[in-house]
Amino acid sequence: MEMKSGRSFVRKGGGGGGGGGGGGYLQAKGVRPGSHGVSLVSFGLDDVDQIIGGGIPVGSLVMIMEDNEAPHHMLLLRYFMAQGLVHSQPLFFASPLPSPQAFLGTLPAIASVRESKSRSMGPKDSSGEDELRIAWQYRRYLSEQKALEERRLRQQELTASSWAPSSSSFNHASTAGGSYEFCNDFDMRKPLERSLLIGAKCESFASGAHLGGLLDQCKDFVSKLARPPGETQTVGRLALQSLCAPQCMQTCTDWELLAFLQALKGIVRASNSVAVITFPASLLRPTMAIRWQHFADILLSVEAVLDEDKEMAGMLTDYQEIVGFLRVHKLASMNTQVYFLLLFMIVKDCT
Amino acid sequence: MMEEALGWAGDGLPPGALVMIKDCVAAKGGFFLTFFLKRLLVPSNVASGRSKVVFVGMAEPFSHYGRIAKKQGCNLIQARDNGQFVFLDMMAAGNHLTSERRREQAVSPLQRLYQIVNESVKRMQTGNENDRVVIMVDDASLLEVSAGGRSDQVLAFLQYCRAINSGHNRCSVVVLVHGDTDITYGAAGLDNGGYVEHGEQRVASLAHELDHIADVVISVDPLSTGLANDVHGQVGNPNSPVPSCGI
Repeated sequence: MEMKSGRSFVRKGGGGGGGGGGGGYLQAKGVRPGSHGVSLVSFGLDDVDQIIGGGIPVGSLVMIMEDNEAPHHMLLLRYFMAQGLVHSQPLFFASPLPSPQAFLGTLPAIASVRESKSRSMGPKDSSGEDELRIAWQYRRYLSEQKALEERRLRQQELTASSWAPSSSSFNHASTAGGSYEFCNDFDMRKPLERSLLIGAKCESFASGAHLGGLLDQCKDFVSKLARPPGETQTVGRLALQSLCAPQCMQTCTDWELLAFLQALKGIVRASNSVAVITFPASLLRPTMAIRWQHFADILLSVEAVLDEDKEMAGMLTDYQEIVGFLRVHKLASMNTQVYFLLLFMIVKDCT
Repeated sequence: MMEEALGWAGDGLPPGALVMIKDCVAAKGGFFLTFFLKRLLVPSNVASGRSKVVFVGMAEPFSHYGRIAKKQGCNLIQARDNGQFVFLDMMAAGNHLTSERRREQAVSPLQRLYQIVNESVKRMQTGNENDRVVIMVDDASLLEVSAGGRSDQVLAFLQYCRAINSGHNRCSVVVLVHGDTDITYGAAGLDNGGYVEHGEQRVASLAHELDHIADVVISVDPLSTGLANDVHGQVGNPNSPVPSCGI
């Protein structure tokens, strides 16, 4: 099977598609068939999609262990949420922020084709610097992005032989109404169009999480996703940020939170939705943290990189651009017993 | 090969046996349950009787096991229709463990679950005195969550299940439990990839207590040497002299 080095494009107006005959595969925008009868949705980042096996299986729970010092999990959430909104997938976002709606304003827009082409041609001049809104080392990325592209291509060549993607043969799935990309290229410098934010529902638990109410809201959100057979299905996305943060823990016990997770997993499994939950694992007791990890279908963790680490700088060529590591602990094994366990340290840089 | 390691006779599990499968985050033990399902529902020789299975499913829905078992040659849907296999779906909304009604009742969720399991076993009886019924639980750590952390309730539930009589024989129980939830310090998952290292302090936990009462303990661990393409982990049986096999 050949591995596509770019994005997966959908043929315009194509009917049926590769996954049409498979029992149980969803026909919906932004969903493509995976192996073992599960459908996949994109995380929003192409690299992450590839590592977790093509995408997030519908009905699964992705849990991300946060780093204490750095908010890189918010970056992952931004991609996840933006990808969902771009594909018109309903979104439910719960967070201990006092105003989660404001966070939606920081979601990235799709990088325009012209820009991504100019990126591949060569570094842009610094005319866009005045518009930079983020504080990371974006300038260095602009000037050295060529090296990154080359490294990425090299890595893809290396992994193409060892990794047999099941999803690359299903790139032709389409829904009625034109072509779209399964995983978009996002531009962190620009905010997502306001019109797309309509599909998002927010909930704040800054004053303590009332778990029963939160569970009811999730159930409600998920029940609205159900469509009668024959109509186009839709996949919903739930994003719960920092679920065991102190604001949350002040109104509930450890075990109540575990029961909430158990109930949430049941709801997500039985419906067309995916959930991404981030949690500061170091704030939990170790025995509780392990129980949380067992709940996850896909378990990731984010680790920040120290600013001045001479050993690390010696090991990695583009150390200056790296802001953190993404570690994959567990991958989904829905409908199958075979799973990949990759203790994989990949470089994550901001784009 | 696994049967030899377990010392399994051809006619199903011994009555009243408690088999415990202990796994961890890095190496899941769910595959053992489908292995048992296949061995129990599809006997290798015609002379041995078929066992019946009551499956308490809390971690995955029925479709998950159905698909895997189908690939291994065991049709769970057919077995369910024949009355040989009962699947209690504890993940579905409104299930017996988490429904609102239970809060108003005096009985605890696990007591209710026991009643349901008992009824299922009684309904499966055919009058054949040599029937064997196996109760499988996936998994006991989720039972502990439903019981609000009361591991003694979970132990009581499992002991009661073992004591259910079906014909001449008591039921056997196969239970999956997470063996790594009993460490008290060290932020596992961030530093050491979730592996429990020797020398860390342990508290009494469900897995520890089950260890004492189980007849067979199967522990599923990742390889200590790291990852390999073909071998995902190792399986150990502390009671038997046969060395562990790689899977």
